[in-house]
Amino acid sequence: MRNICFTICFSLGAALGQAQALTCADIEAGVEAEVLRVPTAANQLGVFRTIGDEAVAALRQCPQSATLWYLAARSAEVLEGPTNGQAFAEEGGLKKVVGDALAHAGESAPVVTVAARVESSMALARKACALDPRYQPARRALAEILAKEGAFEEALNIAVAKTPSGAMALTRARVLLAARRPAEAAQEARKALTLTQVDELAPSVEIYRGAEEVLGFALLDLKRTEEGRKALRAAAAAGSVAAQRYLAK
Amino acid sequence: MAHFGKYANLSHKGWTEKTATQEIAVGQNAHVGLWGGGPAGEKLVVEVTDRAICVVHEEPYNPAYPHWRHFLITALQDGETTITAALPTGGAYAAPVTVKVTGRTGVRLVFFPGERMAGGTTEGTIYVVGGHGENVKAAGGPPVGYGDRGGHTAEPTPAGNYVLGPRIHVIAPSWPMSAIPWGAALRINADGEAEFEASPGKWRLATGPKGVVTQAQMSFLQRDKLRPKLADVVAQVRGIFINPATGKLWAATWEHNDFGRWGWNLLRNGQRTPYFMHTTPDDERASAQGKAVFLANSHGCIHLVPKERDRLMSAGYLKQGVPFEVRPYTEMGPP
Repeated sequence: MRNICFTICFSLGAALGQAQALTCADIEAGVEAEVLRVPTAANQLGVFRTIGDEAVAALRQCPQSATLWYLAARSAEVLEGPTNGQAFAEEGGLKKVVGDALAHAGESAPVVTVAARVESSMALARKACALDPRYQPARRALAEILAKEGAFEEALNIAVAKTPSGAMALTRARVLLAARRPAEAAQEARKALTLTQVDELAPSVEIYRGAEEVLGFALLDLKRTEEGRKALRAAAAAGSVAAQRYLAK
Repeated sequence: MAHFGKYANLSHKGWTEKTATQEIAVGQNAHVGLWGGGPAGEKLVVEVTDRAICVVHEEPYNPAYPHWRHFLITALQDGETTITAALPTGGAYAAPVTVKVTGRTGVRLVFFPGERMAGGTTEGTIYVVGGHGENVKAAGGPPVGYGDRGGHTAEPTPAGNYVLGPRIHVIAPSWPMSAIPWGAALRINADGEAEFEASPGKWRLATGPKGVVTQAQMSFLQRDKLRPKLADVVAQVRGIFINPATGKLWAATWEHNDFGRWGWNLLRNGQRTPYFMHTTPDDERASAQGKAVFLANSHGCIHLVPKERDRLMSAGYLKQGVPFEVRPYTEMGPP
């Protein structure tokens, strides 16, 4: 499962035109060599910066590469919070990078999924699921957007995984918290903290941060204030803005 | 209403109440309180006019003294400055404290790891005591620890007194990318595997089933209770070194070591600790390209900005034997 994104990236690359592929395949491979460092690098966010910078630079030569658009958009998404939106400021920021990715690779489920999350767009989330019904991150994105709209049962029906993953458990936790089912949300959040399998190119701290955040708010809803604040302190330390705001009150 | 003063058991050493003056020797600390706030209860902004002379950090709130805030003054070099308290919208709102720093001391470094949030990073500053008021930003471990990949934990950098060890290219195979020292020469051997120059003229396998990076990566994944297939790991590690299309190396030297170009161990009582002061490879790359560097929290080490590291090295502050103090994360600010 750790390799799932690499597989996606490589298969996306296969869609390139033959004439361009000889040049762009090489360029893509160079960026993907950086992707290979993500699972074991100590500073994963730093690797995302490199991937994003290299993908953006490579796109000037290979603007039709869905692989590179995905890597650029995903890196910008991952780094948006940790760098206060500054990592890709020279490229116009996260929304610009994602908008450009969507314009050039709008038939790529990974690209459309990133766009759905960034824009909180139900239409894009549904499109991503339609493009690749087996692509778990698309289902997670759709479930979380459905929960925001109050469609909790539909969200929970979508947020199921054949292989348990921390990311899907976190999505279910978020849906359950939004549905005011804090006990179950806390249970799913704790599950997310124990599952090492990933379904998307992501820094490990992303699931930890999200799970501690949901756990904290769920425990507060359960009137377990001290435990909730402890979880929120952990989330805040890992960069959760919501937890930081709560604790600053 | 607001005023500076001493309260509770804050030491009066060097303090002259009448003139609100605090005298401190270079390298020493003093404490001062601030009573009250703005007209509508606003939290006043406390700052030092000249941060090359001294710096202030806010200590945790003490509920036994509900109207007081507690500040730590750290003297950096001799000179005189003031500490002011202003409304958030601007404008002084309390009589300032005059701080007179006197004397001389050998150079030492003091790191306040919990000063502020910068994006998602808990960021701090390393101050040079006994220098010329220099400081550089730095990021320690997260303020609350957690378990990470490969059996590692990300934990706060422990407060305490250390001494810098020698400048080295760090080798730490528990992080697979750090099984090879920064800058090691790479080559392809007759079998098409990547090798690195471990010491002058001595080459070791990096890739392939017996390569040190492959082995380190297998151990890393096994510590996560994953059951990696050797063939998968061999392929992944190979991809980091070798362009699959050409069979050539991506780079002639290794610049992915997690500890960046240089590392200094934080020695405690003369013994090595797990903590280093270092940069990261991707920050080195960004810095070399003239791009902004965004520090990330470490696993307990202290991350530096490459150009600021170079500045401290040039000034002679980053070297073996320099005392290095890590302060608690609870000391916040300056703004």
